[in-house]
Amino acid sequence: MQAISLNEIYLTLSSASGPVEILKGVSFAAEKGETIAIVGPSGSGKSSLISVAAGLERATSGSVTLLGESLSGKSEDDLARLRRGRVSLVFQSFHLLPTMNALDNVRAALEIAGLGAVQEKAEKSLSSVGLSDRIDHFPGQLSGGEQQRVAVARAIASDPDVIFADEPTGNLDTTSGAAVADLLFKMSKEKGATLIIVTHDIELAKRADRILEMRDGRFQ
Amino acid sequence: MNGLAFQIARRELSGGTKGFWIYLACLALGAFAIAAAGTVTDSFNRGLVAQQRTLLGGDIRFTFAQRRATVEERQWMDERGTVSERVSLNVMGEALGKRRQVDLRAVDDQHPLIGAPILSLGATSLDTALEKKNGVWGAAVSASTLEHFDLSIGDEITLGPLNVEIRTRLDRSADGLGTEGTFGPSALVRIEALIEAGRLSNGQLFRASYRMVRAPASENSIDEISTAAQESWADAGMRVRLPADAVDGLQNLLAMLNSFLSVIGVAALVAGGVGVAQATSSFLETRIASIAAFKALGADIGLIRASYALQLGGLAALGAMTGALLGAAAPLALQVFAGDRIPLPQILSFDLLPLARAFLLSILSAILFAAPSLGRAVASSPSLLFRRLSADQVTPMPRLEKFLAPIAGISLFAFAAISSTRPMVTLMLLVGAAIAYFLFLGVAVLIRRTAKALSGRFSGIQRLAFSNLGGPGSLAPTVAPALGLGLALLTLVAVVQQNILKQVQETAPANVPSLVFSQIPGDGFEKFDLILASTGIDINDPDIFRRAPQMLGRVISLNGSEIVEEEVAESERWVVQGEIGLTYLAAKPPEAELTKGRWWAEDYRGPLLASVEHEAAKGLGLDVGDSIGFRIFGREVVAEVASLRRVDWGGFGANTAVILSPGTLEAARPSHFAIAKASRAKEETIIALLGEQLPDVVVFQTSAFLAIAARLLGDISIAINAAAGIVTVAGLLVLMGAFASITRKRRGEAALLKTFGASKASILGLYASEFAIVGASAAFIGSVIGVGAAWPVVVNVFEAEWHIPWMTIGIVFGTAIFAAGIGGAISGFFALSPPPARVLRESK
Repeated sequence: MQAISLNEIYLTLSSASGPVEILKGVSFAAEKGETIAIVGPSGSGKSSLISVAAGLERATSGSVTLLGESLSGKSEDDLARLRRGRVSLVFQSFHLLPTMNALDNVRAALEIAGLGAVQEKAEKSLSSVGLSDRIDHFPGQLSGGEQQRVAVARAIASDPDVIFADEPTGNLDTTSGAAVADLLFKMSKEKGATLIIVTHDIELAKRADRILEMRDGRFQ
Repeated sequence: MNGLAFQIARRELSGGTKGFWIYLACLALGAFAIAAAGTVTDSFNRGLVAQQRTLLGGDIRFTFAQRRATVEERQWMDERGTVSERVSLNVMGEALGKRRQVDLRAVDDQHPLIGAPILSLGATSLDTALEKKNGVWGAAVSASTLEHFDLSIGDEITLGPLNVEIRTRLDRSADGLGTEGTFGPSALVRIEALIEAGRLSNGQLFRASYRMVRAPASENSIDEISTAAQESWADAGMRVRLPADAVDGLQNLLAMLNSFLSVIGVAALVAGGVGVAQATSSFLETRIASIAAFKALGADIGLIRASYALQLGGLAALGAMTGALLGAAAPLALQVFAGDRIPLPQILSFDLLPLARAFLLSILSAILFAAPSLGRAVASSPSLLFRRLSADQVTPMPRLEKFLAPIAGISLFAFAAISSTRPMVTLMLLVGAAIAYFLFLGVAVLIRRTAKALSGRFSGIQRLAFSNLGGPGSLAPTVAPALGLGLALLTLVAVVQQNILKQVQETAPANVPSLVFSQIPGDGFEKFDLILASTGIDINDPDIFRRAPQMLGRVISLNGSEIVEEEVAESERWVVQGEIGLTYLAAKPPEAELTKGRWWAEDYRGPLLASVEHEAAKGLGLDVGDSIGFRIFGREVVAEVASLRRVDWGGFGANTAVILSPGTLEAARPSHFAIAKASRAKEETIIALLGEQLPDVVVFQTSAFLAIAARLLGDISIAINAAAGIVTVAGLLVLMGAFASITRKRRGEAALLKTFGASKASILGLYASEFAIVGASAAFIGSVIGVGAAWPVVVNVFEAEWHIPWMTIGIVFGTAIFAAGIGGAISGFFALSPPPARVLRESK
């Protein structure tokens, strides 16, 4: 069963110097439980691709199907509802809520998804990333590696069907990066979640089932 | 080093001052309010000083109560200059079946010595208007007289003993301020008319005044004439006034107004100061990378501090200068937009002093509020700067800023007070504002702690709202003090205004007499009582009717020594500055509460005793057993103070500062005055009956006066509300700054919430509820502080009955929550506008 399907995706964004064509007819599909690494040079459109796939950005043309539902014609709120608890994202710069401690950052995502046993799931998730002793720390009190582990804990806590990870180890040192990558692949394997990971790290990419290389808005 | 700092500052500022409009607006608003307070009051002061001779009607004025000047006195005056005589009295006007009290003034043909009256509709000169023509004297009357009696030029009206023909409308008298007859009907006639009618004999109730323009050839200066008059006629009951005295009351009022407006200006600076602090901190956040880079390049703290102080100082100077210059234009704007409604003369000129004061106070406020953020930013280590400053990573403030901020704060208050016309009043008001400010800071801490504690009890978006309020970067410390201070002042003004309005419109009409009668003939009061009784007034009920002898007397000595006005407390100086109403009573009035001493026996006929109002006694330094001397009917009498008593000035009763014992004064058979409570229908019957049977009795209807007072109060309230609104505007500016800052900061958060699956409505609700919670807390505490501060003003200053106008408070409260909530939702809307992917990409 396909978890994600992109068909002839074009994405053009406006900029100060005029419209910029980011994606130029990209198509790909990911099966349930499959892990795919997207590699390529900076500016090749990797992050934009997962933004479109996750419904965060609307494609200029082409069609996207996520978890069996076409994203075409869906409102922003419809897309938000589709993601709830089923799609998670991990970012290069963590994007934690600065006013909440680690536990509340995880709980907030679970609560918005409308899931039950929030406290238990959040604590378990933080424990699985090795942060049991840091749950009441605010993002400003955590190191970069710790912040990314909170972000991963937040992403996996709801047992999502799909995880999009945009250079999750890009801001981390080798040890922290390896730990975060381990967590993501482990989660995908154990729960059968589809993992789409954007990375510059070839060693990390090699751990995926498939590697897709992007150049100038197209797959090679 | 300084050159380099300047270069860096110039280069950084050349990138624009985006995001600095709140900083500039907050400082400009405060500077404007302070400068405008100074320039407006200065322009009125100049106008008053220029007009003081006209307002007095001459170089000097001599006044007598209940008598005209004797031949000798008049000769003495005539030897020293040109003199014009005027008498003032209250009479009943009657025309077309209507009777009402009229303020009557009678002048001789020398009037006016200075200036000219403004006449309209009929005769264009006073001589023509007032002359006797075909056996009928003429009169110039106010528009209010024409309106009330429904008369036109050429109609006749009875004014007490006179029957006169209205020949012109008097719009402004030569020595008057504002429109003639604002407080009720008034008329101007010739003195000869009253003399002919026999109304100016000694002992009758009137006041005679003589304005003199010094003869050009006179060897004596005005001061010498004044001194000579007081020496020559010390025992004659003559009161001397000079041009400066004609405007001193108004100047005192202006000084008070200036203090009040200045405090509003400083309060605006304090409320807006939060915006200054917020803008400084936001600005420095955008410069963190630059500061870190400079440090990495080897720049020391001094250079960085100098560079950013130059930028912040330059912008502060720009804001303060803009505000001060706008303040300089305030008198002109006032003249253009409200000139006709303000009865004070105004002279425009460019005065640097109030502008310099406003500029300096604004700069001190900028130092007070910007120094802490600047200090922390420049002292932070480069690594910390790269990781962004947060509330949990507060860098200790360098020693310079640690001392600079409090010194600037103390200097701000000290300079505001010292440079004020009423330093103590200003200081007290400022300390009040500072206490309120710190209370709001406390409220902000409380909001944060409560929100933090509550966040665990909620889930999802609600938890985030409380976490945001309780966590780092909370809105509370910014919005609560700024908005709260503005709302507190607005509530204070609204509550005081509502209480006074209620006093004038409801409490006073219920408590004070509806009719006040004066000049009841000493030999006709039995007849007067019968007339009132015939209309159904229970003349034996002291809550309905009172009558007592009426005398005018002047306090001339205390314990045998002459009065020195300066030694009398300012608030009680009115007791010794002119004639006051006196009466004598055998029995203690039922409402009189003695605070010391004893009332005399009802049949007491011994040496004169006095019961003195306790505040007046305190001001005069009098106690039971002391002596107080009066001049009554040209005679000097001395009374021993037998008791001190409390007077409810707004109540129904014998509300005179001094009540004397009967006996000594009874032989004079003075006229009486009376008060009564009656329905409107009865009022008219009584006035009509008295017109037929005791036409000399003057009846004053309080309802008409209270209606005028309510209208004037409404006009004043608009101006005071507008002034107090400045602080609220400062609070709203800070709120808008918070909206703008929150919109910038929350874009990432909103985008992230979308990735979690949060709907737009729930994210909008999040921001609306955050702002609404802070707005509601600020409004609640602001209302409590405003109401608390209004209580002593209402009860002690205005001596009005206290009530809490819940509706007004509710409106202020509701509007604050609504404005904050809507603003929060709008911030949320803007935060939500960009696509989440773009926001997350940009904030990588």
